[in-house]
Amino acid sequence: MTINLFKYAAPTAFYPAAGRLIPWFGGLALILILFSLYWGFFETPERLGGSNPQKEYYRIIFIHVPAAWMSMWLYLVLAAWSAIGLVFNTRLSFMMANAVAPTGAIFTFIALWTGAFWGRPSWGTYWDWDPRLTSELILFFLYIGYIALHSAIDDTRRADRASALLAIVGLVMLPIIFWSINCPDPNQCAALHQRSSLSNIESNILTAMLTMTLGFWLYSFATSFARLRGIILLRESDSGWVRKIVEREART
Amino acid sequence: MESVMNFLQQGGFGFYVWASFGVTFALMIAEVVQLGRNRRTILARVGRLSRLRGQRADAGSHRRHASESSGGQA
Repeated sequence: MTINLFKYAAPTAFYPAAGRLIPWFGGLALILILFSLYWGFFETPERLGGSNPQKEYYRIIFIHVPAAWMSMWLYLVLAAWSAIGLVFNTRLSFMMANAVAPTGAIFTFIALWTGAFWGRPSWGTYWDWDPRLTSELILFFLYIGYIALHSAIDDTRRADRASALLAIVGLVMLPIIFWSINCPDPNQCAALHQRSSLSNIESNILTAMLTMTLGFWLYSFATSFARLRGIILLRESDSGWVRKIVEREART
Repeated sequence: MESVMNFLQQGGFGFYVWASFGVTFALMIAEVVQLGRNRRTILARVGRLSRLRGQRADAGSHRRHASESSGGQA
C-alpha cells in the first residue's frame, strides 16, 4: 500500500485528515503534560546542590525550557512553510505558516514570562538586557510583526508573500538566540543566563522536562491544525466542498 | 492538610512557581477556548455566505418565483 503524501497538500484532503488528528494530538498532549506535572512536582528533588544551587523555584524549568524550545522550533516551522510557499507557490503552505504563528507567539511569551519569574529569585531581577533575554524578546516581536503585517494587508496573496519574507528575514534571530549564552568574555558581555547542560542534569528532572516538551509539541500540532482548518474554510469559502462541509456541520 | 500547604508554599517560592505555571496553563486554555469560538464564528460566517450565494443562484433561475414570494411577504 502506498500513501500519496502529496494528496494531503490539497486543502480538500487536508481538512478532514487534520480534523481526525486533532483529538489524538490534543489527548496525548494532555496526558503527557499531566504526567510531566506529576513527575516534576512529586518525583524530583526539592533543592539542587552542586555548582549551581537552586531551591524549589528551579521547578519553573519544566515549563520554561520546553516553552523556549517550542518558541524557536515553531519559528523554524513558520519560516520553512513561508519559504516553501514563496518557492512553490502552494496555497496550503502559507496557510500553515499563518496557523503556526499565534501558537509560537504564545510559547515565546511563556518562555519570557516564566524566565522573569525564575530570574527574580535566582538572579534578583525580573528582567535584564542579557543577550539571551533580549534576543528572545526580539523573537516575540517577530511573531507579533508577522501576525500584524499579515492582518494589515487586505489582499491575502500579497499579505502571504510580504509576511513570509519577514518570517524568512527574521530567521537570523534563531542562531543568535542559540549562541547568545556562549559569551566568550564575561567582561565584554554580561551573560546572566545559564548555559544549558543537558548531560549532567538529574534524570527525574530531565524526564519531566522532556515529557513536557513532547506535550507542548503535540499541543502545538493540535492548535495549529485547528486554526488551519478555520483558515481553510475562510479562504476556500467560494468552493463547493466547503459549502457541503458547512451544511453538514451546521446540522450536528 | 499540612502537606498540601507545604506543597503550595514550594519552600517559600510559591509565588514564583505558581505565577509561572498559572499563567502558562491559563494562556494555553485560553488559546483552546478561543479556537473553539473562532471555529463557530467561521462556520456561521461561511454558512451565511453560502446561503446568500444559493439564494442568488435561485433568484437567477426562478426569477418569477422569487419575486412572487417576496411580494407575498411585503
